Amino acid sequence: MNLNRLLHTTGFRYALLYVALFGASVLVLFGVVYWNTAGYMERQLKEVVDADVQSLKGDYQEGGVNDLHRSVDDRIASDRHRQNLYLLQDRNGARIAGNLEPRRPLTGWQESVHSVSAEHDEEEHHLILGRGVMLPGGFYLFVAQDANQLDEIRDLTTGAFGWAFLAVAVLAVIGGMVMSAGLLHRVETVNRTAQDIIQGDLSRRIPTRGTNDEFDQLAANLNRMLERIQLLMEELRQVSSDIAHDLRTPLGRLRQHLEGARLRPGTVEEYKRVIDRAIADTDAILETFAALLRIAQVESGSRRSKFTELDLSQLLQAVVETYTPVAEDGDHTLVSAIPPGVTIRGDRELLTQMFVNLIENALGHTPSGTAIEVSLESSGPGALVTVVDHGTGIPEHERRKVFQRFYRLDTSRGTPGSGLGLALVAAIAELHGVDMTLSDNQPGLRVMLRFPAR
Amino acid sequence: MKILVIEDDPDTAEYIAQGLKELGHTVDIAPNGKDGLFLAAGEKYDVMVVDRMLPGLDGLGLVKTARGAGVATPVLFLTTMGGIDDRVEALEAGGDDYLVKPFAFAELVARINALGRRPALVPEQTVLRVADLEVDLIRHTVKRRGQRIDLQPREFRLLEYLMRHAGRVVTRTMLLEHVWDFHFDPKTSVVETHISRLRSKIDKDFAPELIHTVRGTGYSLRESE
Repeated sequence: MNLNRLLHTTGFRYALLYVALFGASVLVLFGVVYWNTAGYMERQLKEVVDADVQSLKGDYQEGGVNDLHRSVDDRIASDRHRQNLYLLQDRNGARIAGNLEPRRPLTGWQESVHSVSAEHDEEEHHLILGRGVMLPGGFYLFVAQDANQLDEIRDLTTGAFGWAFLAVAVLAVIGGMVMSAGLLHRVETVNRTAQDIIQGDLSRRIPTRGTNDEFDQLAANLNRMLERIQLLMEELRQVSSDIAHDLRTPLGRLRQHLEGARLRPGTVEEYKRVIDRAIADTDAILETFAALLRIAQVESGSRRSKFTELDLSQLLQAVVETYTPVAEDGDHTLVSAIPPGVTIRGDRELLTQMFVNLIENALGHTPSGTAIEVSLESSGPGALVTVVDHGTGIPEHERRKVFQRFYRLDTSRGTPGSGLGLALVAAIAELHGVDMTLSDNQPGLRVMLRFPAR
Repeated sequence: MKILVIEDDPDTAEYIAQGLKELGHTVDIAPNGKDGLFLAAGEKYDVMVVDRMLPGLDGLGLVKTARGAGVATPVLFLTTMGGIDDRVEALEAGGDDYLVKPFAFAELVARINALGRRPALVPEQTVLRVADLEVDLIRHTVKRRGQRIDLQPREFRLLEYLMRHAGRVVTRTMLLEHVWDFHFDPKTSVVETHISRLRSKIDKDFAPELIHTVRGTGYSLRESE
């Protein structure tokens, strides 16, 4: 796993976000601490200076520049720690009194550096914080406090927080990298499995750790999805080979007949018979293709957008009306119980074909003399259509399979049919959200189609 | 009849043209939509046979454009197998009928005849007559030789369709589509059964027989052979 890869992971991006977040917290904390230490000290110093300035101003007003001069001298003399600093200068910038060098007569708060002689004749540069005021008569008074301690505290807090910030940043980056490496490893596992599947090994599954965390759940879901895909692929393969098999038989027969006619000399009439038969064979093959295409088209679901409100009672009645004489000719009876006015949303053409297929299926697979019953019930908000016959029925274990393409019961191998009629019924039912169940009518088959509420 | 065939596959076009010429029709072939539109707009045809899929301008676009330009020639669309939605689209674009490829030639001829001899703007008839058979579309009554005959609703529609196409051949598929609204091929003999019922009511006790079976193609209602 290379560094570049790591830097582009989500985990690492989260780490960067954490750096920013922790950095901001450190800054806020720094602000609060600073305000409460250095800030506090600064405010204290300013208060002292302010008080001093007020008092000296008073002296000037009472006794003029001479009194002020004396007061300044007194204060310097009594300040053994050399904490208080003063400057009184005239309008020409010449010092009259004080322990500071003459300066530019700026009013307001100022910070500057002041040299103090310490032990062993060494010089120290101290920060001073002071305030300048102009007095009537052009005199300039500057009162300051030695702010060396303030300076030190400022340096201390800034330094401490600088290091803290650095430590947080380093920890967050390292933590992020470790975390991403862990996540990346698990994602890599999923990726490798996906690669294998792309290569064609559909049986591969993503390993789970058994911890049931999000990754395990993701893996389990992906595995379930793969299971379904594999199943569908197998079904598809099955259908393809079924199609090939089911078409090979009639094509083989067609070839046989044509070859037979080619080898034996015959009359025009005989040739015509062979050609007619070949056309009939071809039509049967084309019909199988058409049925397959129709199923595929219904399964694609594109017809759903063309659904309209339709009268199911009328539609069913029309089908029954059409098939009553057909049933009679085949020695069956078609009985119906269809109340009027049941409406649903659907595709008229497809629903007609669905009912026709079911009725024709019943007609084709039941012995003569038996009845076929079609009924409609308005069941709550939906509708229920039942088609019942009295034939041999379908064994329970085969009931699901009859809706597969080309599936035919052993008992019906002899009867004509493509094995696609019920597959189309299933596709149309699915398109309409119809719940279709097959059950034993004792004897016979009961097909129940439950239409959903609109 | 003068027929325009717009079909890009030369084999299919030749197969259609050859067959129609043998039946005495005049046939023009256009191999693409542009040429087809040019001919359709410039010449006077009785029927146009238009392939749904054409290079360049496709069949639907061609017919829409032609209809927009005032060409009223009846159009028979040829569509590919399996396209359930094709029929609706074809009819919406201004087509009059459609036929799914591959088709039996007799089916094509029957449909061209049904379209080409469609009377142009004849006031809607309310009573149809062939020989001594009379169908009153308003009163929903059928009489033969003045004798009242009772028909089931479906039988009435079947007879009405046959009467409207009297003298012409109608195929099994045409009947399924127009009488039953079945746009698929049922496994059982729906058409045969209903024709036989209808025959027993209108032909059995009377002479001459009016409903004729055309072998391998369909049926025709007419006075004589």
